Amino acid sequence: METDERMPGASGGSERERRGGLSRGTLLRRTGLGMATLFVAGAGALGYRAYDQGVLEVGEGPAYDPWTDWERHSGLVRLVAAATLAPSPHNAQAWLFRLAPNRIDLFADRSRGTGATDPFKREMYIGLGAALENLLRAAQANGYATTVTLMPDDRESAHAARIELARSTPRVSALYQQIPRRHTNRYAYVQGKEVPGAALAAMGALGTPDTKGARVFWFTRKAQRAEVGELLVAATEALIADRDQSRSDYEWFRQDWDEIQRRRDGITVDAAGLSDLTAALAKLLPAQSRTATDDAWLTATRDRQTKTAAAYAIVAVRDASNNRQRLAGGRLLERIHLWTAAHGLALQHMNQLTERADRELELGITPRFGDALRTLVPSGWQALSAFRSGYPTHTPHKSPRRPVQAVIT
Amino acid sequence: VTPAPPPGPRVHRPFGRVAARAALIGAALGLAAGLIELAVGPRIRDWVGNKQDTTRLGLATIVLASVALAAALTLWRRPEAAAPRRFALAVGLLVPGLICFTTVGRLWYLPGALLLLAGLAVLADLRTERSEVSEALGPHWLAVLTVVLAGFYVFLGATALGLAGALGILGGLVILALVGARARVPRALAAALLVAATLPFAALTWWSVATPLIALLLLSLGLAAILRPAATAGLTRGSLPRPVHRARGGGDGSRHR
Repeated sequence: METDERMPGASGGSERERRGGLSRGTLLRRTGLGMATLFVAGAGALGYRAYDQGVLEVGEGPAYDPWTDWERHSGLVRLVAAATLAPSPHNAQAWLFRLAPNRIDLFADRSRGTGATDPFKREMYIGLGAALENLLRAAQANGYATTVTLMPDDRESAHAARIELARSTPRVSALYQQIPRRHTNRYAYVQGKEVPGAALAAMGALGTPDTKGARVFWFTRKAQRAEVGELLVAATEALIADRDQSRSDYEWFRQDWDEIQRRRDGITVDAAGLSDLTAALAKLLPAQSRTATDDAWLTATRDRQTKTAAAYAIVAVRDASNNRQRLAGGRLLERIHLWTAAHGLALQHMNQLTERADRELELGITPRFGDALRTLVPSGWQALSAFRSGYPTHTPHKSPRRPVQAVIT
Repeated sequence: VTPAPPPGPRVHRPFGRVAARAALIGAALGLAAGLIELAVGPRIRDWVGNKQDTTRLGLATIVLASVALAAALTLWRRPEAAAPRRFALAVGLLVPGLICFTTVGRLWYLPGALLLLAGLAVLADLRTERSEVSEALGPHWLAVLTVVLAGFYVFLGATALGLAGALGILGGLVILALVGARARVPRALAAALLVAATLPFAALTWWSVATPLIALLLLSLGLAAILRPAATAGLTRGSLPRPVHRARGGGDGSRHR
């Protein structure tokens, strides 16, 4: 009776099951459940990978804490914390600070150079200039009057600046408030929306006696943008074709979440300007090879960044090999970047042209991009750094930052 | 410790004691690995898989090693436990054994290997009792899978940010409760709750690939587990809830008498 109440194939089993075989229905059900189990196991593995790669934690963790806790520091350390939020080539953050009671000395950390992409340390000093600008804005906001000496020791080229500090009335500038909001935006920009002439003029007027000798030249007309865009794409192709430059570039590309949180530097997938879905896939999949990364960079430059740039600009100085002028140019560049953040504009540093020009000089090869840069800026000026600007389509993600303790000697 | 009396006819289990011993040693070493990671992880990063968040992963290792230790102790104390229970114990050894390779790096190599060997040995001993395991687990397998998926939701919710993370944790907990109480919740309400608990987190993090996929599985397997609990019973013998009405006759011609 007990057996009779059960369904064949479910309890006592069909005649075939009783003989040791499986009915088709049972086999199908078991196969279905087996597949479901495999799917669940796969989903679990994917979920763990998502956790391990920080897919749901974009912009979080200790590597990103400096963006939120920089104002929690007190005294001169707070000024250094502001300085560390400045942009730097490949986000290498090649800076060191030495603190004294009324003085901060800024040094280049030569161990954090970007190799063949910056053979003459041009970009390193531009980055130091940007950090100096942030530091001085913070000093002003925190009640310090400053006296700055660039390259104070001719025998020590790593000593970029000495900042003497004296107490004064705090003055919080609009640009200072943008320090934690400024991020390099590598996304596409709004197409067809030009940067107003008044904005270009305002940015052009950001130069002060502190940055004299540095000037910004804009390229806003369609033909100009096309010319600069084509040059940038060609320079990117040349960069990735140059094995040493490609390797130097790849060394600073961070794809592993733990590595990002540990090293707190470099270019990350999150900050690469990819769509959220593409970025998540890039993080879930195994790390990209150097070649694949190069290809992705070229594609982004050609199809996204140069195609949607509303304006290009070149910051130029009289002598681009002079570290004082590089520092001044870096200060002006950071000032412009902070200004764009305050006015709803996006900005991305695009240094392929200058990187190739320096490489040509280093290798003694035909100065294709060096010549091109010379035609872009007026006679008597030398291109120092370039960027694109426009209206953002996405809010950029933060880049990792080293803590102040790591940069104070 | 006196072993429990055997539940039925004695089955040959060649690996029983060895597996239990290996599991105990592996779990104890695993617990130690978790404690070491928690205590000095940042100073021995090479040994803990170069993980940044050694606190969270150390705690996770301790929890998982504790699960393995509980399974190992049960295996040691009750070598003659019923087959379904020993299957669960094998899972309790294998899952931590596998996961912790990613939480504590090199420190897990020895405990992980011991736990995996022990778990596989227990499974090997179970090969003659497959039908018993199948009978016990079959009717609940979809519910088990749903619980596992809900666990993933809670886990990912805990790593996500802000509202999305909170909705992930809440959704996962609701689903866990729903599976536990599925016999007492009206089906329409259960279905609505499952959908409401699943969709928000997946929608807010659709780009993450992982959460939409888990949500898809949660909805398909969860609905089957909650709405048609009897459907899975057909998998195994003697597992259907009774009475089963087939008044109009099934395709196989059987009738309820």
